Amino acid sequence: MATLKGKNFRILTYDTTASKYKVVGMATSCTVTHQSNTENANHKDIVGIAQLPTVVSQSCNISVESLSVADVGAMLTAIKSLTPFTLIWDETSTTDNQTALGATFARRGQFFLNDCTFQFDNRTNSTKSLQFSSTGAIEVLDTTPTVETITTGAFTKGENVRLFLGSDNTATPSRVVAGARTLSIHCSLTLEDATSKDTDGNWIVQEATELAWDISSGALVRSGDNITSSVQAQGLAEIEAIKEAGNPVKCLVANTSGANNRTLGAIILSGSVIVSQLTINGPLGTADYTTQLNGYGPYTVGA
Amino acid sequence: MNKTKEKTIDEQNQEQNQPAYVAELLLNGTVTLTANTREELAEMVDNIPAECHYGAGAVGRHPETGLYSLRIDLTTKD
Repeated sequence: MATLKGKNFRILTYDTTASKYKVVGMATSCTVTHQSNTENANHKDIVGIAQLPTVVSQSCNISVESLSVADVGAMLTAIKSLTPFTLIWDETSTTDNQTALGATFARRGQFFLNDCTFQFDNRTNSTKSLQFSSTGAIEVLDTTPTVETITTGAFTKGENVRLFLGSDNTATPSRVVAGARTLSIHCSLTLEDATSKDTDGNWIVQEATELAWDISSGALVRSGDNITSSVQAQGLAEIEAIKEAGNPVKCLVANTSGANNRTLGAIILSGSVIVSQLTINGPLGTADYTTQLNGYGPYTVGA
Repeated sequence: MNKTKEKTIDEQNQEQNQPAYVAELLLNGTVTLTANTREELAEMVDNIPAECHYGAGAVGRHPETGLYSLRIDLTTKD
């Protein structure tokens, strides 16, 4: 009996348009966690003090890490659609590693995409991290899944995705954060147990109740320079002023190119944010600062 | 949407005088643009009609071919 390689254990999502499953492209790892929630059933009529756990409910969580950020717009749309979609895990073929084989351990269920993080760091291949949470029963696959092969292979250098930050909540931001080195977009969906006595079985059924998003940016501190006026970009002083004012400001995350990598390209996300935390680091090496921006109201995928 | 699906991409292209990838986006809800440079990609994005609400992914570059790619998905405006 051969050992299954982790590379051949994949998560596939159901594409309702194509009526086929598709692998999560360029995945580097995935984890499926079956959770049984138990209660101790020991009582005074039972001899002994050892616990007697009994299963009262079940749920399942999945996490996937990937090097593809081509679908960041689609994922940000999916998470705020507040609807679950079908997902399976299965053994995949060694030839194309996308064909699902219908292994005995393969399972299918409805899952909310309840947390996603996209990381765009300087001189680094961008990554995404997705987390899914089940709603309803996980089922054994009754047929071998039909899979649509996807084309992948393009990497995104993190420096080509940048944060543009405004100084108020009206004008479209036109200035990047100067000297930026790190950037992440994070979006999470709060789920609540929606089971009742009417619910069949012991699988937890969930409902989405709240959406939160935030952006984290890290940048170098420039010495004795008014960045805003000298290079038309946002620097530490301006972000401190935004933080002190405490008001939401417009922001957008977009693909960039051109001189100093500041030319605005296709917009990934736009919205309003408040600066919730600003940390300035002064180690023996290079001084830098990180800014935590919390989404204020809904974000728009694209412009 | 059903009405749109009755027409081929070429037919839509001819009728509306728009690039084939715009018709593909409208038909399938998603399209991946490919170009030799970032500037060419930007030009392709500019050709997508303003009334189409769409979301963009991050521009990727294929390590072997060197081609740039960008996935576009139709979305709804908030």
